[in-house]
Amino acid sequence: MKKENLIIVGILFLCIVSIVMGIYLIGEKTVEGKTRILTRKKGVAVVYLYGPISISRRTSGWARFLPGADSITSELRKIGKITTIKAVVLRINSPGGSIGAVQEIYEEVIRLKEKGKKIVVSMGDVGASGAYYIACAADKIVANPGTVTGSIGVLMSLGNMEELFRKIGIKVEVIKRGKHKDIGSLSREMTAEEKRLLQGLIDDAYDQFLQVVIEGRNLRKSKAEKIAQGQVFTGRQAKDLGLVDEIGNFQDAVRLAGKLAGIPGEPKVIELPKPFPRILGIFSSYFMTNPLQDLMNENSIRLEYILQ
Amino acid sequence: MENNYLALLYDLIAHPGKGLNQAREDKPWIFLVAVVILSGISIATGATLFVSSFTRVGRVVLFSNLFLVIVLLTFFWVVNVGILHFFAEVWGKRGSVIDLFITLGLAMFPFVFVSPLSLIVEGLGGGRIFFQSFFTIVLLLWCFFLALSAIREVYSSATFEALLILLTPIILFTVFSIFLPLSCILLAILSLPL
Repeated sequence: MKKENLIIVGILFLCIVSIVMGIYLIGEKTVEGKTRILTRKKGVAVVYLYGPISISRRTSGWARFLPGADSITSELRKIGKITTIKAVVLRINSPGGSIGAVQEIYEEVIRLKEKGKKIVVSMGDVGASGAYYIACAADKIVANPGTVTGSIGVLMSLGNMEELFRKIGIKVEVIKRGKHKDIGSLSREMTAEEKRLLQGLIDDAYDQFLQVVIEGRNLRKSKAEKIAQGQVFTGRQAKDLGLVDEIGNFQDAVRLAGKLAGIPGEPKVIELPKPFPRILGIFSSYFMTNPLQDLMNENSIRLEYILQ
Repeated sequence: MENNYLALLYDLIAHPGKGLNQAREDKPWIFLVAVVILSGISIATGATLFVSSFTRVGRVVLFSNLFLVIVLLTFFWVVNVGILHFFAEVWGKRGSVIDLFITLGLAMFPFVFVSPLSLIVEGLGGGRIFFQSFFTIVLLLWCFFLALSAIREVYSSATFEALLILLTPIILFTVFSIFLPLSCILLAILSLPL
């Protein structure tokens, strides 16, 4: 190719690349701005917390973009920067999840409150365990009369496949440094010492949960301890126990959020645009199906605030 | 064919007169449409990127801008051809209106640089308004120069004559936009009952 042609190809390539980069940059800069333009008047943002809560379902590949705790905390941070959003409705339909993920979302909700936003939790079918932990950060909790909530407790399930391994002829050789490095191993019975160590973890995590419930719901410790035995309640029972403030649906939660934020009339509902995870969500079943990995995850040591 | 287009673009940058004359002879319609569309996309992206620094408009606005810019650019192009051809004839020049349409379309080529330059302005951080204005003025001057060359080639005129053809509508428009409101005001004053 002649030198002149190369120059022109280079210029055209530069122009096309810059157009693509420009379009990308506009999108990156404007999640907040788009909302501001759409909503010049004050509004209530809605954040959805659906399904089991974890940091991310996969660490690599496209699946890492699927909604997890990281995407929710990021969304909450964005909302914190938008001045027209005066209140947030956290729409929960979740049985809880891993403790780290739950606590990350909880902390972000607290930060949002510190920025002056009013937070109302609206529970759908279920808002239990870790999801209830997060709800404790809200100013108000609204649940349906039949919502399943509560389940305040900590869970760790570990399998013991020693017998199965023996039957099918699998012998697991463990080489370790550190007495308890293979704690929770599938291939043997847990020792009493190991049980005591793990119970210590569970107790500490439980105390953390209990403290959050006491502070968030303004309950006496004795009452909270009575409620926090892992049992589940309906929305109506939870209201009587002080775990929920109002009985109502999502619209009631939006109205309550508007009222708390001092927005007159019907508040405008704002949802931050996030087309990318939505598109990926279509393929979520493809990304999620990995039975072997799921089985191994089930048998690793992991503390969960989750409804069984 | 691709090589011809590349050579044409190179001439348009390095030897505008030669390039425009070549385009007049070849009449590369598809290439012309591609240049205008690419210019439109570049203007819309660059302008939206610049504006998004202040108002934070989004991709939805970009796509509406894209549509708007391409429509306006085409409208401006067609109207400009008609007006300039009219004034060229008024000044006693003869040429093909189709040739003028092609060459004026290619004269919009510098606008493809709006997007890369806006990206540079974005990267500079400070002085966005100054640098964007500066680059815009440079691109407009380049387009003006190409339009001037286009008229020279199409009507086989001298630079001064081409300048006259190009500036006459601008001067008339300026004069009208000043004098028309003034005359209206004057007329209104005079028609007031004494």
